[in-house]
Amino acid sequence: MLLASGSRSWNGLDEAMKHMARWLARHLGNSELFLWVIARGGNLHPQFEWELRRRLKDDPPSPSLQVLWALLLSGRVKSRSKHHDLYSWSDRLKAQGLTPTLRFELNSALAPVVKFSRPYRWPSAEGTPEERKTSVSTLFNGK
Amino acid sequence: MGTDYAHSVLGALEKVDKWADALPVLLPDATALLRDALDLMRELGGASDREDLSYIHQPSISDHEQNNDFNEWTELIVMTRDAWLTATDADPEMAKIEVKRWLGIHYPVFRRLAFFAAAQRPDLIDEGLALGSLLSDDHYWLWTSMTRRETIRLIASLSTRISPEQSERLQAAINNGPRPRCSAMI
Repeated sequence: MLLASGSRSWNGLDEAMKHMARWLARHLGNSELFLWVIARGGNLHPQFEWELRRRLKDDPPSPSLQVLWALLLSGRVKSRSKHHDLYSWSDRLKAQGLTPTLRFELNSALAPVVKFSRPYRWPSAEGTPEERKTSVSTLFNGK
Repeated sequence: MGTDYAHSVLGALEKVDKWADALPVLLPDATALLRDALDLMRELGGASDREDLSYIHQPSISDHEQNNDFNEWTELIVMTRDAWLTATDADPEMAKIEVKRWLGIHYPVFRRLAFFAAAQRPDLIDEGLALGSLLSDDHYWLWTSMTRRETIRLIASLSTRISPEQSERLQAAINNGPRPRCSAMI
């Protein structure tokens, strides 16, 4: 039973995990939660996603985290499950020419997404709360 | 992008006939994907109507040794350019319409593509449209470093074919120099 993972197969959550999802969603103002979700593969359990959406509406975090969560929830953050095999696509194009399906596949493979990575920091350098906050905006690594 | 090797896969298709046939059909898709990339950057504070990182990540719209493959998204610039170039033969009317569409998408990279197109195929892009877009926004595009390489090539191309009146307009704009708002960009 997982709240965030690299694949999109989900089971129902038991009561304990439902509480966990609700409790975690209360921390969406903490950039560590966002980074944890990304590190887990970027896919959210539907129930956890629902909790996050509700929390974003009722108790929005800082503007920069609002943008990051919104991007994640709209599928615009790179996730491990959404990997496209362009080599196979290219072989099929050479064999068949462009078909509507190949066009759809190319559009999905080339759809821009944001790639995040954790900024490198010396283990002893915890930083002040203000420094930790500003590091969120420097996570963007290009696409 | 959802893939990590777009440069190598699409680069390898360069001489494949079926890819050349597909490219004009893919022109509107390429434009839309590139716009998505810029919109994402805008959401993260990395692009605006007048600034983007394309001049650093892809210094030249035409092939150039200063271009590199370090940033995946620049493949979308290359694909948009190549789709347009193939469309100029396969469907010139669509190619013309696409340049007008680019001029309506407010990011420097689309202005660069339009300037590239106008310099590359003067037979397709009317010099009035090209000059108008160069001098629009208070002459911003004439002076900004965001589009400089394509701006200079467009001026060189226009100088051989514009009317005396248009030439006077261009020279007056150059002689006047950048507006104070632009000078910080130089």
